[in-house]
Amino acid sequence: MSQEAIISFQDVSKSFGDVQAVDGANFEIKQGEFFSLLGPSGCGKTTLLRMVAGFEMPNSGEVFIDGQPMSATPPNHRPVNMVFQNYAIFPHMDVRGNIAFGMRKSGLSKIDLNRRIDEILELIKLQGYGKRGAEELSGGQRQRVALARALIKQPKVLLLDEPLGALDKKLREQMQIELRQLQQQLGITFLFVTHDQEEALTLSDRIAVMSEGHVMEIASPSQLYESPGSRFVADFIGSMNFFEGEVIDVEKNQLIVSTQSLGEVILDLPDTDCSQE
Amino acid sequence: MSNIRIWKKPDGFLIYAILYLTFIYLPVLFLPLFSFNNSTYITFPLKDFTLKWYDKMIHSPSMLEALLNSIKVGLLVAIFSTILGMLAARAVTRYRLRGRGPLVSFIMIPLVIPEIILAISLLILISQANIPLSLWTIGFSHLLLCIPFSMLILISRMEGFDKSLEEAALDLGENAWITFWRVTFPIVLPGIVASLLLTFTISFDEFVLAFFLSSTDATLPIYIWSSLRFPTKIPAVLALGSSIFVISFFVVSFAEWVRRRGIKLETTSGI
Repeated sequence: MSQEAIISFQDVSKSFGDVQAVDGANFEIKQGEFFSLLGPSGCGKTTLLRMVAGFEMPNSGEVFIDGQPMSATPPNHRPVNMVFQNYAIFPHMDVRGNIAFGMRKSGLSKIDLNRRIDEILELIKLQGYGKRGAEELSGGQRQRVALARALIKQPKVLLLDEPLGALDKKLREQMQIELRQLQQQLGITFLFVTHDQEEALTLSDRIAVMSEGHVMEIASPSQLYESPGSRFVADFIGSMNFFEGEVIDVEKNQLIVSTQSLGEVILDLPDTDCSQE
Repeated sequence: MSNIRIWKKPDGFLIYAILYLTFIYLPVLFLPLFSFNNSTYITFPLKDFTLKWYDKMIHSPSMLEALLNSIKVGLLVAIFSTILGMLAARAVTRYRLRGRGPLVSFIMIPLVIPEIILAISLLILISQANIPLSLWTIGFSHLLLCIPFSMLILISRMEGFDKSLEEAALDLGENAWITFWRVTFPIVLPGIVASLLLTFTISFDEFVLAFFLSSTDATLPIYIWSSLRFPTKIPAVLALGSSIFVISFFVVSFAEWVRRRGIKLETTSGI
């Protein structure tokens, strides 16, 4: 994985009326990463995603895609594509029509375009479904069409807005695996919005945990799970046991903490600075 | 076994439906019946079969002119009412407007004002402004009457419209204008067709406003009303009525065909 930033948020803030949806977001997403925005509903993760897509404009700050500032670029000229939460499959077109929708100005001949559509139908395992109408598709199939429609555009970043939320548990788990495989196979950066901790932990290279418009922590799933940087993150990520205690002594890389329920506990310090309570 | 039970149930409704349809269509069917009847008087028993009233209809320039006037006014009213209704419906459904409820009810008021009141007030206004009465004044008054109908139809069609479909089209590289033509328009097309048909029909058979606001150019309802004074003209009017009945049957079928085709319009073959 290269370390080049494909998306960079610089002091991005957005408010709707009195509500501060995103407050001073300042981070980078690297080329080829599977990056998740994780947080409870209303935390600003979808607003952040929609600012990358261009459907919302930041009140202040700037979103960069591949080094280019995006504030003057409308959604139809941005090198990113989105999979919508409800998939937004065009109801008046069949599967092929939906997939070909964004290719009108691609300059491909009809034969080449048809071949590309065939390839992408195979990629998403919907061969033979090309002539199906949108109404004849199941939830999982709609989601695949939404994916294909975005991927055929070869975006620099694929934006996914809670794409698995509407699927049942079994299908969701299967789609998680397929999404991850697809991402690794294509090498496209995925920016994934979810409120499901397990989903984010399973899929992502890195996760940004958000709360009330703030990015609380950005780390890999194992870091978040094993040594969360704050009580909020620890609490949000999963079932954790909390022990309040007092630091009695600090040794070279060990903490000696006195707790009520466990007595004195010796903790190994991580390499980074300790910011635990 | 269970099928039989399902079939037995609607019997009462079936009789009701037949009675209902008879009640609606039986009077209308007298129109073609008497239009082929070789007598000036519209009474039973029927005389011989004849086509002479149709011949008379074709050779009555004033009747054809009235028909043409009605079609001209109807088409213009239908088109403008649908365009304006569409813009209003989009504004109402798409943006969070302050005072949306009162605004919509205000626009709907012409639906409940008695037409004769509307006609008199318009006549006063138009004569005060020294605007000569013509087909244009009729068309304007019909527009006023039809816009609420267009709005009602199109609001109900657009309220179910998923905004993310337009966002998806933008996201896939189309600008707002192309997005409208490739996504919004085909999806609301059934509503547009319904609005065009309904407003044309309203204008086509509207009498009160046209009567007050017309000068020498008559629309069809006014022509029919004035020919009631001459009994010899009535059978030709029946012939015209029958023709309109048949034509509108085909127009509605055509519109329905367009609507169904509109849904399946865009496939890969169209690109």
